[in-house]
Amino acid sequence: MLHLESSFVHLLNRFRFTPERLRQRRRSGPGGHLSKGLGQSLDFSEYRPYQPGDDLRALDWKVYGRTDRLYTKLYVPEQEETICFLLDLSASMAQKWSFCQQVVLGLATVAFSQGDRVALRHLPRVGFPPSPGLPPVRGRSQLAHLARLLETSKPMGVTDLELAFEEMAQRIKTRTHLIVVSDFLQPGAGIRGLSQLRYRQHRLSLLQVLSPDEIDPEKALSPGEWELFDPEPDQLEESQRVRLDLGRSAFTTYRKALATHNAQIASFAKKYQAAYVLSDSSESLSTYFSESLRRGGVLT
Amino acid sequence: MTFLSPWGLFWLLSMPLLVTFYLFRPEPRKQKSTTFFLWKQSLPESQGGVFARQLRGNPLLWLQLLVLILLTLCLARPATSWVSLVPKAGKVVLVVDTSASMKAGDAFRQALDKADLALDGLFGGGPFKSRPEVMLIAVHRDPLIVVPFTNDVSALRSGLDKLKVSEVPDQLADLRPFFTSLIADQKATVWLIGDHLPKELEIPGVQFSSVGAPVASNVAVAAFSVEASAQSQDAKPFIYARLQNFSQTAEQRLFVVDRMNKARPNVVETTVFQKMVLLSAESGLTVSEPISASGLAPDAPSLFRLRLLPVPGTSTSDQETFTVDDAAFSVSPPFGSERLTVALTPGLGANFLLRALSAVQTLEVVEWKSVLEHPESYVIDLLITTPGFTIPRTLEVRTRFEIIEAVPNDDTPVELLRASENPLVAQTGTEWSRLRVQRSDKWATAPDETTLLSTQSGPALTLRGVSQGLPTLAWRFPLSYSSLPLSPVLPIVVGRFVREYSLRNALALQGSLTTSERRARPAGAAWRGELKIQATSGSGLGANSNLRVTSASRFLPRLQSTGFYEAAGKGSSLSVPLAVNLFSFSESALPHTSGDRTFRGEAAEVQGALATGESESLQYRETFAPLLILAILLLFLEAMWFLKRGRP
Repeated sequence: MLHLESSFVHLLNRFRFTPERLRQRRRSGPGGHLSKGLGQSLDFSEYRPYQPGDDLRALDWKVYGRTDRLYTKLYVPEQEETICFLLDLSASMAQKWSFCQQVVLGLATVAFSQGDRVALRHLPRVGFPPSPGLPPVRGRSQLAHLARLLETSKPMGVTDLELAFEEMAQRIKTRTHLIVVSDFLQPGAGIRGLSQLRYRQHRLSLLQVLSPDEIDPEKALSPGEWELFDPEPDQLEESQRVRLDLGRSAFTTYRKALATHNAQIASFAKKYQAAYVLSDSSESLSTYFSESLRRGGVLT
Repeated sequence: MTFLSPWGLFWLLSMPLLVTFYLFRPEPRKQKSTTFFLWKQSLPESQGGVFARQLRGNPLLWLQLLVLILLTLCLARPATSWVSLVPKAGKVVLVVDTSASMKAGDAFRQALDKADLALDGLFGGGPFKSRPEVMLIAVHRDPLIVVPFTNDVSALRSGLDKLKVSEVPDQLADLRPFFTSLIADQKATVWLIGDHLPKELEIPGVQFSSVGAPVASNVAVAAFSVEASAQSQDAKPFIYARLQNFSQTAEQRLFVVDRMNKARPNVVETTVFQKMVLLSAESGLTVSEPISASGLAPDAPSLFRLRLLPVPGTSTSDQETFTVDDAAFSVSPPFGSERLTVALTPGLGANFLLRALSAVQTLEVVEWKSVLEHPESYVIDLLITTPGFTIPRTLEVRTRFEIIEAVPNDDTPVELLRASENPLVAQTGTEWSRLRVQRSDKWATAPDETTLLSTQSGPALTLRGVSQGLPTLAWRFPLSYSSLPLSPVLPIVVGRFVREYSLRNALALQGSLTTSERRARPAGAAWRGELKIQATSGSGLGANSNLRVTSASRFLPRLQSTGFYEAAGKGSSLSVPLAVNLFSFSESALPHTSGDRTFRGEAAEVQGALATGESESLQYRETFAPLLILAILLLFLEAMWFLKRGRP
């Protein structure tokens, strides 16, 4: 069964999701995220001169004793957040799937530990029935359920990221912290779909996971003539093949194209204040959590 | 351009193999790629599928084809070829010009340096696969073997060190037979290092290395003599010279006549005449000047040298050493002689000879009858007789000419080339037309005849064996070569020889001179005969010899310029003194040409020579190096391509 190393779990206890001042919503329970408004919680914010109508329980009598003036203590209200993982299960993720499972499980652990609710949705694939995923749940006890769900998921088929994100934007009505786990390896990287999600006021964290071969193809392809084909369509149609003479210049050109592609995603993330983390699937989990995700602004 | 290994061209057959390899090269490796779209949008698709497209769009294929062609050409060993007389045995005759003109500037030093470099080239590789045999010859008037054929470089270098410039002008034009014999007989290449190359030597097998500054002007001496006046007994000797300016500008020269030491003809005894002369462009000038008779030996022949020197201060050369444009020598009879008493035996029609002699010598012709009737012993300087005529004892004959009938059917073809536009005028008023006459065929020599003097037309002076201990000399006049004045009436050739040969020896002069413009028909039948000059009395005049010629001599047979010589027969203690008064002037040698030249000959020409067994072989220089370098560059380019673009 999919599980995390105990030492890694201990490490995860140190992390928390980067808070975002969320609007207070009436139905929201108390969570680990500070609301943008002032409310009741254990976290002191500031003093304010008493105004008529303030709760008398909030008066600081000790300050009144010292200064003979009435001050009201203000607290930062705490609010729970729903973290929804949007998983790309296209065939291109197969090579990186193990890493992605661990990442999702680890982040879910962090989310549960700070009282957030965790949901999981699979990005819809062409020709596959919609996957139910995991509805928002709370509590560490749901980790096993999440692990089983991840374990039974197999990357295959074709995912049109743009359509998938648009569909998610229509389905997810409430404001949610959406953590997209994908390689974004499609023309346009599905950015137009991501825009739709952002338009719905969702908080976005984009975790792009690439395999070492994708980052540096020279590790997999020796110089020479290759016939490459797209793994996502199951049928190897002629139009999905390309015959290439690969050499140093070809690899350099590829790296530039990949950098340009990734720059598109980074540019989007910067523009819409989304977190963006590009990682190598061969990276160790501890490094990924302690360095990459923190540096990308996903965890603190 | 030719190929030394033409079979190497068969490697071109591998070109279709290469093309086939490209056409049927293995299928590319297949690979799934999750970044398929990146590959597809960033790189052009390779040309596969259609053969023609595959070949056309593949620069590596063309590059490799080009490399293949270049390497194939290299294997075929391309070479530039020329037909050369470079010997199979690798014999080279290094000829260094040591004539007076080599004093000009730094010419001689350059010649030595070039000879040194030539030795480096000959013994340091070059076209010779083995060490060649090299002979070193110094040449000014006569070729002199300094070092015989050897492959000892040190001996050759020491020979070079011994070379010195002489005071005499070169006679390179006459070296043609000599060079030809070297090339044909010795199978050698003649490598001449000098300041000019006469056209006569532009023959296959001769290589010429030019030294010294290019000749700026071409001024030559066409005729020169110092004679006693023919007009009166008291008149002074006079200089007669004909100068020719071949350059297109007027030239001013210092005209200097020196009297030379007979024993050492290179040593000046005194300067007898000096004058500044101005020569118009492309024209001639006759100089006829009296000189003082003081200091001249009255009863001995004298040797004079005429030099044309640049006017001091006008030389453009930075070198202070003088440049001799040309020089000529003249042997003059004793100036003390008053008149030549000539007698003719009865029935001898030799008026032509008397007229000829009178042109250069004051004659007193006495009748044979009066000679016989003379009560006392009568001294006759020249007696012209028929063959076998017995001279009475009462006569003292100093010189005897025998007129012999012409050899029947001796129709030696003689061709008149052209008449000079500038006739030569002697002080006597006689106008000599300088006719260039050329024999159409060469004189043949007898088997026992040793050539002493060779000219372009053949041997001029030969040694015809020894009779009674005395050598017999045969003289053939090289008409096309001599600048002796020829009269339409009679050629004058023998006057100055009279006293020199009027000793005890017989000198046979053979010739078939003609001044007629009609081909092969002599002007007078009497002249077409044999003229014998026979010594009758007197003692030796003590003519000094500066050259000893033996029948075994091979490279010193040339007496083509003025001077005193001695010819001796093999095994004989006696010798024949010779005074030769000829001019070396040859119009064909002027203007001088300079610049290194190699006369390899046209292939057909020399192939013909090969067929006739004259000489020699084709020479090749392989030229595959540039092709190989280009192929290597292309291979490098291909390697760079491979590293950058991948497998071909």
